[in-house]
Amino acid sequence: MERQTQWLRGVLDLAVLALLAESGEDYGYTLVRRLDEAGLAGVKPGTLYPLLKRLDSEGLVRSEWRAGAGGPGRKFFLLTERGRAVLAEQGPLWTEFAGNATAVLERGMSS
Amino acid sequence: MTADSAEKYRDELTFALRMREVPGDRIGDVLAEVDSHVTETGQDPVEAFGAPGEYAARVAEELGASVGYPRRAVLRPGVLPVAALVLCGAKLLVSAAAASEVVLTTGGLVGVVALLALLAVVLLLAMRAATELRGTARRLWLWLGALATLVLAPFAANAVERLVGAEQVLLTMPRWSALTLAAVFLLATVVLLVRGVRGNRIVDPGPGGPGVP
Repeated sequence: MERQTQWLRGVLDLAVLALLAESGEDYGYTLVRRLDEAGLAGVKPGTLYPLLKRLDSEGLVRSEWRAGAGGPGRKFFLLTERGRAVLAEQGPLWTEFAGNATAVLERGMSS
Repeated sequence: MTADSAEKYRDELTFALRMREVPGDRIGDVLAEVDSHVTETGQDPVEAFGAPGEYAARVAEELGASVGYPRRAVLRPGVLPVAALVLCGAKLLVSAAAASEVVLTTGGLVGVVALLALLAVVLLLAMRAATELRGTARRLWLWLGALATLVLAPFAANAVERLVGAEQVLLTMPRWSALTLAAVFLLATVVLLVRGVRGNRIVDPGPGGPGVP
């Protein structure tokens, strides 16, 4: 788990941008759940919310509070054009990097 | 999670964020995020967000280098000017009430500076105690240190004042001008305090609140 947390550190911001690109908008709790379901388990709200705030101040997402149905208010996050551009630019770099790492590991494991 | 533990977490987090000089509107936002998350999931706030002190440190870190060092907060502009204004205002007021003219000597000036320096030490120790995460014993010692310094500060400042001596007169002013100056100092204190409190009020960004366009 410790190692997975370290891996996630490098890609969590891009993963969040990608999830928002897929859904259009989400709030904190559903993002944690969707990361879990995608196999990127172990992201604590205490890590995710400050990250979302950073993305917000960098203009990659924007946020708005909306009333919840009978429950508490929810803070929704939406991908901005800038966020989409960063994902388009950085996403391929990560997939190439991850692919290289996988290739090295596979070569090592099969030799 | 109980309503009590959520309330306790909220209080401790607010305090820890304040200690790190996180702006009021951001504190409101962070508290609303925590509330919204724990109400929806029923999760324990400590489990979800970490201990209040740790989470406050993370929130401050994301705001950049301008905030986040609780020990230095006391040395920033704001705290010391207010303390200086109160001290000088009160001293002038007391002197003007007792005599028809107020005399400022080198000893008096050095005494006020010494008292201010000691009060800064008290504040630093108290802040350190309030944000200490490791061990209750350590926290207790820091509180005791702050209290002891606070009690001893006037005596120490007095001793310094007498040591420097009252011979060298820097300034003599009649009662009315001393009273006017005291009033100006005390009024400035009130203005600074009101501005500080107003500019840093915790704002709830929830639906219907000011955060919603």
